Amino acid sequence: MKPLIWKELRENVRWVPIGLLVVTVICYMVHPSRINGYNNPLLATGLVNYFAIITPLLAFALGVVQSFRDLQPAAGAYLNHRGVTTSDVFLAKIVSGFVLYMTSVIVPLIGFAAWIAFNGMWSYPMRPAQVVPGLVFAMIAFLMHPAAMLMMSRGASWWGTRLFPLVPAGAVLIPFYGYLHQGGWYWAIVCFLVALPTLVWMIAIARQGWQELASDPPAASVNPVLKRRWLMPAYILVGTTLCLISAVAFSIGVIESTLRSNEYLPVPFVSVDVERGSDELWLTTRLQSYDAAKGNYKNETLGGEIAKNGATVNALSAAAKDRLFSSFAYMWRLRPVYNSTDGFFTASNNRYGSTLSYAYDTRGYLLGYETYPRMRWVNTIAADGVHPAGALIGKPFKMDPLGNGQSAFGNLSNIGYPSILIDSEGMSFIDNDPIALRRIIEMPIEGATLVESVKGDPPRLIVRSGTELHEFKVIEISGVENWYVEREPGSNSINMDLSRKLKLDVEPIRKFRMPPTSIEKETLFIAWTPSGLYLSENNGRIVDSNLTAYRLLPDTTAEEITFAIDPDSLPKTDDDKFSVMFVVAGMFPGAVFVLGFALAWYQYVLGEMPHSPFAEIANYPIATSTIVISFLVVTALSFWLVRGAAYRRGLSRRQTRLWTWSVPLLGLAAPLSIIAIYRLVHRESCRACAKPRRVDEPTCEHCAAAWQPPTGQGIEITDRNDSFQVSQG
Amino acid sequence: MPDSSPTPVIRTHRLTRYFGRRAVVRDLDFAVPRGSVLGLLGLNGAGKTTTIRMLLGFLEPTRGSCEILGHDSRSLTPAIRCRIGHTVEGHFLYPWMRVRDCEQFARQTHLTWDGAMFESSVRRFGIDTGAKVAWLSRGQRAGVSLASTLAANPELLVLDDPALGLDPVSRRALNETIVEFCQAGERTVLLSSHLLDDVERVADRVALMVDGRMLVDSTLDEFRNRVAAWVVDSGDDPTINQSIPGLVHCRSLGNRWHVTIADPSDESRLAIEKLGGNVQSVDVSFEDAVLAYLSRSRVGHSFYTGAAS
Repeated sequence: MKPLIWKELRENVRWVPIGLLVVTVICYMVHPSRINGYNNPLLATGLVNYFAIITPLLAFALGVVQSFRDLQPAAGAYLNHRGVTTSDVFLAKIVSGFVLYMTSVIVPLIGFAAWIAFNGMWSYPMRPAQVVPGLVFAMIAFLMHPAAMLMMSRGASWWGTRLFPLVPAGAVLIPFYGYLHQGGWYWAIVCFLVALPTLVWMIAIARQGWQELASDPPAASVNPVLKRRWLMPAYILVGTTLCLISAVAFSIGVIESTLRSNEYLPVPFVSVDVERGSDELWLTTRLQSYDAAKGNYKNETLGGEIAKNGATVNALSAAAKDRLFSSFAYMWRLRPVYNSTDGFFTASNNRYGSTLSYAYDTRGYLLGYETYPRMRWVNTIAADGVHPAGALIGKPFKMDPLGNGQSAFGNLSNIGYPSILIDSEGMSFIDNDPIALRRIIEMPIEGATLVESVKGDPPRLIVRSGTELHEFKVIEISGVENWYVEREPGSNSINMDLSRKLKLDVEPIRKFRMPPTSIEKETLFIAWTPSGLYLSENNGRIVDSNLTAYRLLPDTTAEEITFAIDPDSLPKTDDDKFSVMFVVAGMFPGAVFVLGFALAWYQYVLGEMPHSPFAEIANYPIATSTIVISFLVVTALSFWLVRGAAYRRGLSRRQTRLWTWSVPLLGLAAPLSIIAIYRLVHRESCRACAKPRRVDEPTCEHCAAAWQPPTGQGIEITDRNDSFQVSQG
Repeated sequence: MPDSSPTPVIRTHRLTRYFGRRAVVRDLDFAVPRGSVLGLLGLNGAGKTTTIRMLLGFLEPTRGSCEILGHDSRSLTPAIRCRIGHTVEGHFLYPWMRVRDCEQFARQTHLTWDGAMFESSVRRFGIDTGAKVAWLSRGQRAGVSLASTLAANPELLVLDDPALGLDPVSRRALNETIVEFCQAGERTVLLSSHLLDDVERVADRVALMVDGRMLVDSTLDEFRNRVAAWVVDSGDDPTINQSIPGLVHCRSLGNRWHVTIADPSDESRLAIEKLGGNVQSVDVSFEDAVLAYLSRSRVGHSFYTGAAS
């Protein structure tokens, strides 16, 4: 195989400069210095984003150019007619293609990594390892190379099913992209390990296609036997089904965006709240509208009732009108990093009260950058204090202590107060003038939030530690009076000078025991009252008809409050009306509906869905019946198409029966798959029975007559005795 | 019969190939005896190249079967392929290779290799081994292609229109090379060509394909002997209203008509006599005989008049 690899390398090395140029340009484009590192320093994400588009195209193009010429009759005969097998030729193309492709990716990436290493982190939070996810993605994107070779080796029409082999390969890249673009080292290694068998799988499929289709075999020799060559048919079946699902989903998306209203129409929603003053738990219906003048959202209470244990609550009762309520605050478990990350750093975040922008390095350090007049690394915050820039020293944090601006501390730091840093081992404040780290809590922490307290007072800090909730009061220790100013609607910050001088601390107030059922929950909702806390496991836009909340009093067992909601008082969120979307949705393969129904049922059984799928269906009779009718029509059409396609592909009765049975699950994908998997059969009139007979079978399928020898013209000259018969005359 | 060798090098059984709905090769039954040189003749589109591609396993038959060197063409192993030399139509070579690269590539991918044979063949075509294929003339490319094929020392040579577009000197070199190859042991050659004099010079058997069917499969001498011709004085085509057994073709020569008959029987001769006018028996050359067969299938083959000549 060595000479074949050499031939392929030598022949296609001319394409490498194109790859080098493209990847080099991408590297340049994602470098933080070019795109303003303050806004988007997520280099690994940027690299994977660009690679997600470019590298599959590069691999595809290389697959096409490597196969195009050698599939032409003359070139194919020249290459294959020697002491090599078709498989050798294919594998040589794959090996050399991989070498050339990876060369065009790796060389610029090595240069890029060297450039990053040379710059260091002085200007932007970046390190050479950030090229690794891009490299892994580029490796898995090589899937498109064998997929392209498989596509080229097929004889199907370009307007028909020829492109189908590209679809599963492309679909496989999507989850890899999903994990790699913010996955860091961990997901890079996992994806690398998964990429290897995935590539082998794709190569095995393409090899089968290349070997079988190279000699353009007749239907009779390939259509009946799929037993030992199921790789490619299974692959094509998946591709066809994905094509259909994508086409239907895309059509629904287009129709939805065309029909969608451009007006902002507030929709009423139900939530649990605490009434200020009485400290009672209420169920209210609210309408949230956008106040464009103040740039803020405004809540209007439409109705509601006190939620008492065992009661049925009317969410639209007029009793709630003109009352003041405190909302529940969202408390989530601490995470290693939050959403805006590439797995190596979080996006730089400017903390109010500080001129510095902070990015979290997943090795456990907060990197402080001066953003003006230019980005410059000025300090490193570790769990044990603030250190000078230039090295990662000190005790690392266990997790992103800033929560990347998404933690529950938004309502303190976002209005200008010093930021709280929190990880699983404790909590600190950053003092801004001078910059210093002050440890305020030393205890294991799983979650935390800031909740509204008495109007005008700073919010209370609630920390989740083991099976307890700890309440802390935020205080100022440098003696600034009336330091807390509640945020006014439309106002986003307090006086910056004031904020810089503040030295905040916390003071333990109370401890609460969590109800056992809530301990394992990922997210909780907390509301504060002078006498204790309320805890709910779900809030926001409630659609359940039964709810449970807990009243927590200091150092006592939680009191459960379970109540029902009058279903008639729950707002209808969607209208049940006819839409073309539902007609199109009926074209989804039946398997999609079965899967969706099974998932919905599973969620219902787990208690994650309030109603059974049957009840949901019954709530939308018009939409459901439209989908069902459309599905039935499409299924009937698919049956008819399967029969026709099976006849044109000359399938056996058993094969036809199997495909017919698959129609309810596959829908239109069934006839499409038959067309894509099996080779077309040609027929001509049988001389014996005059019915159309297959040209690739030795006997007529209707009358079992063999092919008649051609009629002689009386001019045949042959010196052999066993030649065809000559009928004189 | 001279061709009844027990193990023909090539044998087909009702070999049929369709492209779409069209049968390009239909029920082909023929055999090539070991040690013979078979000239495969036919018009463009007659099915010669398709037959060769099926023989070499590059194309699977729609029906029927074919064997080469005793093996089913659909399952040729690399070892069997190395026993078959093949030059493709147009003498395809990789344009970026140098001649010595072609030699090296071929040597590394064949089980046996005769470097001296390659050198001598290349020298005959006056080719510099350092030259790039892209710089070579068509004749020189043919030389490299043939040299690469012969150096592998094959038992069977399958040449698909090797003289296409070659100058007379290159053609002669090509023919000499083929003849020398055949003389160096019991080698078999399947030569597909449009050049009748080349075929007549090197082949001892002829196979003639018309519209996917084999109409002639015999030795050259027998083919010549079994075709006869007459010249008939007549204003119009005399065969239009007269059925003549074995009539291959009737060609206009001004006010005379050249009538070609295969395997003329007494009945044929009687029918010729009945045509009236002056009927004169004439000798038939190999070329005339072949052209009569080939012209039969093509209507309107005179580009000048647009009518059958």
